Amino acid sequence: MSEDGTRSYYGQPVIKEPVWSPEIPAYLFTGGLAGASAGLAYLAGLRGDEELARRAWIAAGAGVSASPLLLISDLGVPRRFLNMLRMFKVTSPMSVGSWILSASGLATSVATANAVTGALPRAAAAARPAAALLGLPLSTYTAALLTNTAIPVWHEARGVLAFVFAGGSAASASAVAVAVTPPRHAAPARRLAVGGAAAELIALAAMERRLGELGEPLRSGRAGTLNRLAKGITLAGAAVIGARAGRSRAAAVAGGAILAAGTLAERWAIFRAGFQSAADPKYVVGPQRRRIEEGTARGGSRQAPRLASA
Amino acid sequence: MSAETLAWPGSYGGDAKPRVGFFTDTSICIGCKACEVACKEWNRIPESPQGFTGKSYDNTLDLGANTWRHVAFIEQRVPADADGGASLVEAAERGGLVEREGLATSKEGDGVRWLMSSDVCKHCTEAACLEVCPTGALFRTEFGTVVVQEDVCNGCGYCVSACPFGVLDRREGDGRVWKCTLCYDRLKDDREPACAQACPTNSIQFGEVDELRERAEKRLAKLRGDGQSEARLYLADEEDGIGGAGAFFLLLDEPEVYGLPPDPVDSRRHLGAIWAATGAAAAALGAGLVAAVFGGR
Amino acid sequence: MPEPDAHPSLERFVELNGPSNGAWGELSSYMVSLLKAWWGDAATEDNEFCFHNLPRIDGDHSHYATMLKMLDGGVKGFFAVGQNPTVGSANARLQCMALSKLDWLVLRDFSETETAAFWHDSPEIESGDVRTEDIGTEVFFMPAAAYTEKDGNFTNTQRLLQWHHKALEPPGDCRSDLHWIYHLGRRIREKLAGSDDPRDRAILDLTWGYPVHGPHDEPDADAVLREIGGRQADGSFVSGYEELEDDGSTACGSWIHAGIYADGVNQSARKRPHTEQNWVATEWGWAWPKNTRLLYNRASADPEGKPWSERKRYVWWDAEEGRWTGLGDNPDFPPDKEPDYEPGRRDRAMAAIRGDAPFVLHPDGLGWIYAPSGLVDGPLPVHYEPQESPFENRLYAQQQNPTRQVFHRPENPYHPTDGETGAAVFPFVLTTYRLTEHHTAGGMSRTVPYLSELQPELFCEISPQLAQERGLEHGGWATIVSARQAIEARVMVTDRVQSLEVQGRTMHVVGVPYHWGRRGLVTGDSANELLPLALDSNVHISEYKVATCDIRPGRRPRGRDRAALVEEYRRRAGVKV
Repeated sequence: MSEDGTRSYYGQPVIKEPVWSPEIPAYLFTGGLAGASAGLAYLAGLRGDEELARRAWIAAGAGVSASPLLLISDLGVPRRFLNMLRMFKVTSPMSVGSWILSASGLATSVATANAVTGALPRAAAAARPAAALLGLPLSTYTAALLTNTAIPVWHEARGVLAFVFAGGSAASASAVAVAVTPPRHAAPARRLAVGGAAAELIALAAMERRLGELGEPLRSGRAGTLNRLAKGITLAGAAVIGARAGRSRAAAVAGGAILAAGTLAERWAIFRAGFQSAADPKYVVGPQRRRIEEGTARGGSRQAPRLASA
Repeated sequence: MSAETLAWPGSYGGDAKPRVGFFTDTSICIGCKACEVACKEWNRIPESPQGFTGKSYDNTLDLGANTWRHVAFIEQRVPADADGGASLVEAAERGGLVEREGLATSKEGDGVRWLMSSDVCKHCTEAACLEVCPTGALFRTEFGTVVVQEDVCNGCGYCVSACPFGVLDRREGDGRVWKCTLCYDRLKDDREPACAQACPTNSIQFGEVDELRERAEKRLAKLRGDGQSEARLYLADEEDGIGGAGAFFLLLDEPEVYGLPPDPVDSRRHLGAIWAATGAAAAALGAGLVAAVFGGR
Repeated sequence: MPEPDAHPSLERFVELNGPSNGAWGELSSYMVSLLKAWWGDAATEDNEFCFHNLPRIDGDHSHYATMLKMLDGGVKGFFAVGQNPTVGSANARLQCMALSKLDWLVLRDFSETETAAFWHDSPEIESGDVRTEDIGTEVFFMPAAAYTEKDGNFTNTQRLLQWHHKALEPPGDCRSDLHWIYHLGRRIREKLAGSDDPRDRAILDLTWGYPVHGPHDEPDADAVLREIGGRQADGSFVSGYEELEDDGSTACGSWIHAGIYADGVNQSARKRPHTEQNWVATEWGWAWPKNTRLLYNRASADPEGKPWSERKRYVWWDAEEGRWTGLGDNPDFPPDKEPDYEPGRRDRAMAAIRGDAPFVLHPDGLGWIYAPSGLVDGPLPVHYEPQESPFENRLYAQQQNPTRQVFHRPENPYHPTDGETGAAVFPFVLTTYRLTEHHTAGGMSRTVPYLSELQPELFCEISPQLAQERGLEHGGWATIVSARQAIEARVMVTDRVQSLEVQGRTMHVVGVPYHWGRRGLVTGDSANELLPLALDSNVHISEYKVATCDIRPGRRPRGRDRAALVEEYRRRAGVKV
């Protein structure tokens, strides 16, 4: 029995820790970066900010190029990556995501190629809005990927995590754009950076409040340290951008890098928290036992025999 | 009639076979581990030495890629007064000993209960592993069981995090995910799974799920009639969070004592909410982007 | 086996060994049939059916007696067939030292067991007590076929024989025990061929003509079973031991197995499933004697032959048919002997058994609590304390069994027992036992990965009280010490082992499974290193279940320090060596 009274089998985990490697939090970052960058690029283009648009397309292109490599590298059998497209399954966020990433990758690549070289103008005209649109679910479906599991800290965050990732994607895309774009062309990116960071931090706070005791992995251990660090860095990056990046190129580069690092660290913290909550049976058993005691669930076991009619 | 699953029997039409599974009656498990060995022998599972764990006689610890049957050993001290065997005075005296010395000496009549239980993949009616598998490597067989196709699995590991029982795991050096197949090859040959055949006490009973559930009800009624007030069936009902299991259990204590989740829920039950949140967040991101780009001077 | 002086003739042998009443009353038929099976046509009434070909036994040749004689240099060679005494026998160190006094040692096993490796890898070599170059024993290791690689029978403790068919060829040089014995005999016979020395007749006249088959001339196990099962003079098979005669007309290799080949069928190979017969399952395998599943089953009926309980009825008297009948088991009783049968004064053998006396191997046909013969320490059971005990015998004035066999010699020191000076140096009770996951000395399980991983290390089981008293940590190491040796084991603190209040003192028990040794996939010290030789006088088996010991935290010393630790304990306890 653990200190909080949860009974367990010698403290052994009830569920498995994820087998996912650090490529996955890296992808959570690159996918969000790519998705939000495509939207930023498209909208900036519509507005006529060609400097910002071109650079954002390059960021989006880099993001969609790195993402599949990271995902394939995480597979147990990388050469079977094409099996991801054997079927489309709405019950599997990973299947849905594979299709979103494939489509978004194609559209974004065309748009990026056009932004850099001017090639394929007619295809690019169609690709740009498609990439921008697909970039939105690309930025947030990863929340579905994590929450549609048995990992307590992820699963119980299912209503909020998508908003954390949406804010984080906006912040990371704009952070990169701010860093690589001359300040006079980067005003929309700066607004997005501050707004995205704020949205992410607010969503995070909401998430931790909703998780309550279950959110402990986000406050303790390695994930806790990362989480605190990530929030500090994110805040610092957004502050530098908001206060200085409009005037100083150096501040823009520094602020962008800091903010991007902050959003990456936050993804990492959430990822690691999942491991911590899987490893300790109290996070798995505790809430389930409470559901039974509160009468909101009957649980998996039953003591009263159903006498056979015979 | 056992609950229909998404794919069984519907998708098999006339080829569908009755749904089969295990009823593991832990009240008669003797902890011989013959099921573990028979399973590994038949399925040619790699060895998985963990060394001496000190957790009673369990040196296996959990289910995983290289362990498809796992026998848990739980030692519980049952004081003589637990079942009204000794006097209240004696019980109180012993309680005092615990307080004063930190340790109680055993007295005549004191007992130890050694629970043993052979765990296995539950072959859930609502199987999260199968639902999240992006490649279709996990599928529902004509027997209503859940099996990983080793020639399709690409080791994405999603099922590992989706399983509420910690059954599936990726095999090191192989990269694919492995779990109990309920001896699919033997089923196709009209033979019972290796573990059930090896079980010397019939603690592991193989059969058609409907029939096994009836048997389990009778056994539960019998044990409770005999005064085993802690006896319970686990995962034998369609109303639970996974729609009932193909492999269910009779336990003598709370599920978590055996390392089993007390209220497992298939995450797909929340998938609607999950997708709704995902969509809403995507829309919010879109709005934010528009606001940021067009909202300035 | 006949003794040289006591048994000058077959007649005298039978007279001295067979009680005249009950099933043993036909010993002469069993003996003559056995001699006919072994020496065939050479066995005639004129030469007492070759009775004089039988080797004479000249003393106690049980395992421990042999090992002690070996230790004194009195044994030249030793065959260990599937036997691993340096792990499986009490006082393992003594076993190992004895082997080093042999000229030669032949082992048959699946892998190089601790006994096979005693000359280069033993606790004694590790500690420096013995050096390989000082051991003169020539060791022959013969790789053995597993049961899956040969035909033959399993016999389990309820006397059931179950035939197994070879599933695959044994790998490499591995051969069945039958192959080895048969060809060893064949070669000896070839070497003796043409000899006119009378003493060689015993070997040359043996019926050794078993058919062989396959690339390695594997003898036909079925042919051996036919010889064991017994035949009439016309070659037909006997159906039970009652058919055996002492006139040389029948041949049977083992009277209790008579009938195992009845009707020319290998009865032990029958495998009719339980779904196709009743629960007595008489058509699954074959049980000695005469396929009897429950021995003395006439006792399931009352003296009148009616079942004691209808619910539990099993064998009963059918008055109409005038026969014993039942659920299908062979009635372990003369089939037509009426329940009220009373023997006449001159009746002997089975005829001397009353109709209401089911225990047919006893001369009076009765079950015994009072055993007037057969037990060295009879006639009534009584409680004795073991050789080493921390307590006095409160039931009976005699502390230990007065007929026990003890060996006071330096290699086999005993602890002071309760009340003697120094007894407190070994204050705890030591008991050894088996685990489900391992097979005896481990040769067949510590070499199998799937079994080894289930119980990978030697451990000792102690109560929480003893752990507290001695500072032993769960999962840590402990050293267990006796005057014989010190071994180390992982600590399992468990409520399953209880400290008890006995004679006003707290008694702690140290439980140790005994399966480990230095070879195989999982290794460790052997519990048998701790135990002394203290033998039961009837069957000469040592006291594996109880001795005394001490236990202390930490791993045992290595090298010479190990012996020094044991020596220190001996000194403190005043153990004389």
